[in-house]
Amino acid sequence: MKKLLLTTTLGILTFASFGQQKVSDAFLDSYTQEKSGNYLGAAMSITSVYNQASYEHNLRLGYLKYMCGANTESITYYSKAIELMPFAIEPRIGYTLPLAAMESWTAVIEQYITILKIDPNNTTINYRLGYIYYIRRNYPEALKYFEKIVKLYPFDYHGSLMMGWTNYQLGKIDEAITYFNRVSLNSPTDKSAKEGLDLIKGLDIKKK
Amino acid sequence: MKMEIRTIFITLFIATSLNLAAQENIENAFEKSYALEKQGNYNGAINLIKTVYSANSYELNLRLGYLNYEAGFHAESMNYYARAIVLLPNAIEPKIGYVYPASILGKWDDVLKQYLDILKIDPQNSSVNYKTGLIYYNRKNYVQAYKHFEKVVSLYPFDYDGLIMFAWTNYQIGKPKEAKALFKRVMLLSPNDKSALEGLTLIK
Repeated sequence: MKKLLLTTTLGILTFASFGQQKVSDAFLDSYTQEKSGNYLGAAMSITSVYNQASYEHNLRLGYLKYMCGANTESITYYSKAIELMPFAIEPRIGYTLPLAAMESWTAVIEQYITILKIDPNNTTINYRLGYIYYIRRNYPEALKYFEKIVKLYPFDYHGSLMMGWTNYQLGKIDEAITYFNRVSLNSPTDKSAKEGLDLIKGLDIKKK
Repeated sequence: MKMEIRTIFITLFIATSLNLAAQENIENAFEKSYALEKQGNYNGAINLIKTVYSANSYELNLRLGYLNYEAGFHAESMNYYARAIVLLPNAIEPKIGYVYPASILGKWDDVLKQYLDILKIDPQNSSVNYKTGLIYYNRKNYVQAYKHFEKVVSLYPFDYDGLIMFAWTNYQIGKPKEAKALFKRVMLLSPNDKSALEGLTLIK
């Protein structure tokens, strides 16, 4: 009886170890193919060992399908990875790439907002979200996100420049000047900051 | 009354002109300091910024903190970064700057304090959680290290640096099953990874 138990356990372990080796080999092969630009081949390597309960398989396939241009499939795999690890922001960031390629901006915004619930001070996501709102001319919302960036990184070029423009759009001229001036320190002769300051000077002249 | 308005107008005009001139001076100093920095002339860049220095300016203190660090004046660098921190205590930018000279000087308690302060402001900051975990790990305080690496891995479950350190920390605190699973995950990310293989061999 003991012998049977031992043989069965050993059999399961060997099988599991064999399975792990197969998966490792598939990942290795997919990295090699990816390096040579063969994303389809790289995806097929993972598909050959695919387990839908594996976070890593879904994440990798999400990325490789995106790189192949198969955006809908990419979204499916990233969604599975999100389901498996809902508190991870890694698959959510990945998920936004095919969505953006398909210009599904509302879905991108939803995902960014969810990421910020998990990681409220994520500078990259705050910047991207602010930028989407800015492009949509929703300046009060844009301000909320850019403000977060410059609070943490007051001398950051991108955050300060967008704060300059968003304040300008909101008619907060003093604040806009402060940010454009700060950008000019960070990046002397900066064209965008200069443009902002010139526009403000133009407003002054009009008023007079 | 007319005279008063005229005086106010002239005073405002002078104040605005002075402000503009001061801003221009500072901008020029920054511009020239970037040019000198590009040539590797950090001392020259420092001297230029000092000509327009104001203790109340966040930007000037931040820039001097960075330039002094690059020039190898680590104690001075820490002083300037410390002033920038006082001026904007909720910013993490100068705190991140501060840890560079502090770590070169081996002031690890100062570095750790700064990291913990950053995490009070930005608790999920992956880079700072990783570095904090690393300090605790090197101090063999595996319980504290675990807390910080766990945060990194929970946000980025397939990130190499977070995973490998979380695996080793699990190993050190006597959680071999968890360590094994994590080392295996590292092997998917980085096949034949030496550190992960070493961990798996030790567990065997």
